[in-house]
Amino acid sequence: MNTQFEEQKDVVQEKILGCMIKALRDGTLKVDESRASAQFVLSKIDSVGTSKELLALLQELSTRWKVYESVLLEEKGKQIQSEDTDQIKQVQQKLQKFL
Amino acid sequence: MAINATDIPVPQVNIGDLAVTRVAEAPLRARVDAVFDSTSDRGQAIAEADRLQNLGKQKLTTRQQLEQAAHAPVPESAQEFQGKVARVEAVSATLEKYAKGTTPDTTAAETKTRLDGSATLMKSAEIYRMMPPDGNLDETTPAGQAEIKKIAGYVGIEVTAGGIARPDADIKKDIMALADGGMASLRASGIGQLLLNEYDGDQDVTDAVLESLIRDPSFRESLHEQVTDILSNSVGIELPPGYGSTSTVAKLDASKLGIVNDKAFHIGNKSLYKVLDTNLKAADAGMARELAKTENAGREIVNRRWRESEQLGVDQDMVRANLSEDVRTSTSLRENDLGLRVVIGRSLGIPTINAVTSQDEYDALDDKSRAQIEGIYKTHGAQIKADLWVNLSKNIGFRDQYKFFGRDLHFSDKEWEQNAEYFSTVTEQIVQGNPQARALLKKVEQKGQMMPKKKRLMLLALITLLGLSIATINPVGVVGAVSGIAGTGGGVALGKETGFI
Repeated sequence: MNTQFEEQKDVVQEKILGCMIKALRDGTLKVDESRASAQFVLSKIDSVGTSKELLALLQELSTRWKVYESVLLEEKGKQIQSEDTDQIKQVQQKLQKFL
Repeated sequence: MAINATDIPVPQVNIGDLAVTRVAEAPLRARVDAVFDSTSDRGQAIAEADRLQNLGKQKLTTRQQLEQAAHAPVPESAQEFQGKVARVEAVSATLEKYAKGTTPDTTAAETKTRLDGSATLMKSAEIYRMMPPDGNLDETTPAGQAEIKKIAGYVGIEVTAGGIARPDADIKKDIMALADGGMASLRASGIGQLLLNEYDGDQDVTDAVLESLIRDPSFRESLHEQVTDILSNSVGIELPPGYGSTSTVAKLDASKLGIVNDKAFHIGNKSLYKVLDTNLKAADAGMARELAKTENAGREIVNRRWRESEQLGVDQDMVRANLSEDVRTSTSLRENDLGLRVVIGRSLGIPTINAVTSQDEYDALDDKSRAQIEGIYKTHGAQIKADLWVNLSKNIGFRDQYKFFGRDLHFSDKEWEQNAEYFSTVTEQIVQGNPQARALLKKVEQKGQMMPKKKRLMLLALITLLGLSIATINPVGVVGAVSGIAGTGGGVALGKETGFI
């Protein structure tokens, strides 16, 4: 088991929970919705093994309950940033070879 | 240039705009609303947010908090809850009717007692669910006063008396008395022991026991050992030695206390509701049984007015008179089955029932009479209606017979014509919906085909002619033969033979 990825999942769950509490307070999420969304996350999260699957889960979650969109966007942003970093590294490596 | 006051443009503000502005302040407003109306969606959402946040303070992991969120209680509104209570009370009132009836019914009385205990239990469970975690309702603080009013409103405790607000301390006293009553009911019915007996890894049962353990010292003491086992086996909570006899929940580890409290408040009462459901089902079954007994008896009473037609030698005139009277009433007062109700009341011997010719007159009957009639009508009205037409069908043969012998008809041709459609419609319904009625009508029909009126007339004419011709040969013998056929007794015999009776 990838400990780093498990930690990432924990962080995401924490964000989901925070988002849920905030939405409940703001009146943008009802109790039955918070209950259903928590059940949804718990039923899926254990089988998630990759970042791509995690994003897919968040995508589905935010499609069903808009209040979680911020978590999806944040994770997407991180992933894009990570991909960008990788690409920059690759480009830099190529440049170094070229130079 | 002079400027008039009326020239200065005044911004137009309408009420709708103000309302929008208020909505924009929703979070603060929602918190205020939550205090006043905890049963609103917003109020519940705020309470749930508070609950989840408190779980964090109790050092639960994110995963555990999400699990709690997944099992968030979705409390019903006060209106729904009181509707449920009203149902219990209605069932209880009906049972009381039978328990205190002319023939007091002990089963109904026992079921009613059991059900009333459940209603208390239900309210008690709700009170515990709504109480603050420490179980204290503080009538000296605004928050505590709001909690008291919230709970009172939910379980239906009066907050005013004679139009004047009751002191919060008094309302609190009533709340606590009701809550304790529920616990007393638990102890009295041995529910705790029952829960333990039924325990088989069932988390809900464990939780209910936890609830009882936390709230009730005497319960805790009586079940200490078994509860300790359950707690340590299923919930994984390690209890300090001696727990249960003298200690309180505070001796538990703080993080575990959170779990216990949460379970006890939010899941535990599920088991209490299980008990209530069981009792309600038993009450329903008991009530149905009582109703069936009573209303079947009522159906018997109504039927007795017509049934003697199945036997010969009894007062057939009375039976036919009853039948024709009841058919006339039920056909002339068809709307809302008023006629059928009058027939039921007539059978029950309600003195003024024959004077009823309109709904208003029926409504003016005394409550007891109407309750008796309605009780029978609601449970077996359709069946009694079928009984009436089945009996009528079985007596159709009499009509022709009596016409033939010149006796008074119970139904005139005009009456038959006027009600023909109704008779056939109702008979059709009977045939479709009642196998017994179908069989009876079929029997009548078959017998009628075997010996229709025309054939019977021809047969009688033939026999009469034959008798007369024999009489010419032997007058003494024929007089006896003819009188045997043409007299009343012979008519009945023919009726019997042709199967109309």
